[in-house]
Amino acid sequence: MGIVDIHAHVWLGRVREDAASLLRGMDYYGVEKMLLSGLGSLDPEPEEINLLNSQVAALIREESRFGGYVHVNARHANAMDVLSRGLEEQGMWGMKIWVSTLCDEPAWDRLYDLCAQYHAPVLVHTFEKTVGQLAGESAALHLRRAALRHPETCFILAHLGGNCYTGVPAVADIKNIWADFSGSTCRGDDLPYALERMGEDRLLFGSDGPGSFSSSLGQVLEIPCARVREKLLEGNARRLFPGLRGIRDGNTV
Amino acid sequence: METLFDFGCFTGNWPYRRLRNSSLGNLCQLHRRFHVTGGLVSSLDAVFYNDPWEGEGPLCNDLPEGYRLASCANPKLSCSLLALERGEHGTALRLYPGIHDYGPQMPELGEMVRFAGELRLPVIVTARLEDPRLSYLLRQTSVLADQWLELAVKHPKTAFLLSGFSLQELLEVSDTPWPENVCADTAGLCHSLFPLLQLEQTCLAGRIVFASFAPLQTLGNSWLLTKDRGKALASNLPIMQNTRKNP
Repeated sequence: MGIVDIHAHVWLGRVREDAASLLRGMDYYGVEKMLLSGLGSLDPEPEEINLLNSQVAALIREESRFGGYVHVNARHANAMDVLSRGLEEQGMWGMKIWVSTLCDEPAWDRLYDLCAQYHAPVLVHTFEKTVGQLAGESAALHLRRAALRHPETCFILAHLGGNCYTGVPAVADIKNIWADFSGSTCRGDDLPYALERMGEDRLLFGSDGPGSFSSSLGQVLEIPCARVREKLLEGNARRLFPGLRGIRDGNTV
Repeated sequence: METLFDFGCFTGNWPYRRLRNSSLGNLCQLHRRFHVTGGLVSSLDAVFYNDPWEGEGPLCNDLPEGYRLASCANPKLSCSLLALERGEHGTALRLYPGIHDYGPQMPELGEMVRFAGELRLPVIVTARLEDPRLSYLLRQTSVLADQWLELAVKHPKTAFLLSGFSLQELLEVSDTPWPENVCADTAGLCHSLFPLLQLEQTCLAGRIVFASFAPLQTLGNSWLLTKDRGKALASNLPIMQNTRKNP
């Protein structure tokens, strides 16, 4: 079974090192496909956004096991052009929202509409913290509001919202919101709780690499049902991402 | 099939979230699935009790073959030393300085640690039990590895296990050789890629034992790390030998 990792990164200034590290992890843990976004400054300028996306696009061209998200900052005047270029020319499969702008701000609306047209899921970093919350860092309730305004767009609640006990309840009833359990929160009952509240068809494996694979993969290993494990590790991702359908060993079949 | 001993696992209730499978039976069943042959078990209830033995005592009586008790020791409780003298302890002591809010300079702690050495009880220092970003009720103070290493130097006859520290925290204190009476565990290493291979390059090679923090954390995390075991992971450190034997 080839694992699909829908959430990993390469960081500005160490893209090649990160890519090599990710590939090592993919080889070791049996990850067949990994979707990347480029990250750097917390509120990047247009030039940095362009560089990040170009670097991810280059990795996608060089390594067929990589796919990518367009990193967009909705407040930039060229945000639509960035997204269009990413989806049409750079081979990206989705849009990534990090911490520059809360995901329910109106500036995102036209971008969400475009993602719907392209069937491009929107991966939203969501992390509700007790300490260190960033001003532009979305929480699950922000994503809920955005998703209700855009029922044709597919969204991904990253990291189960950080604290899954506040994140998952906010989105469980919204059918165009999926969730990944990537990240460094390896608490024992996060995934079982998410399965109970959201079901087994909208949860996605992500590593949040190059930090770790074991945090997320280890959670799946404890799920006793093989059918559910298969869905979490690859089946759900293949349904969500059109580009993944019919792909084996990184090649379209 | 290679087997493991889990040097850090728990049973009982956790007041900040529901643990679905936290009985001793659940733990043993989980261990069997992952070919873990036994464990050093602690009661989560005892962490919050004014008399921790209320939580640890019943657990001690129920432990099956291959399992030992790491009992909660809190030097801020007035009867903590008396409890040790009365034999109200496991084969190791687990400290929670971040939850009970004390540091290694505490005089009562020094006396406890000294006495633990006489009893040949390893002292397990727990870095944290919850991710501080996620706990709005539980306030955990910082547990600094370098300070606890200093304490270990002062008590060479006592074995110490630094438990649940992250890779970064361990790397920051690995420039100089550790005292012979100190080791660390895998419970906090889940946030890094191939951490054991990184630790293999330091003085901690052969000084890391397997610990899962199950059911607070998924056992699968730490179990996966053992698959890239190098010299860093030890299956049977001499300083922890006493915990594997019958009391």
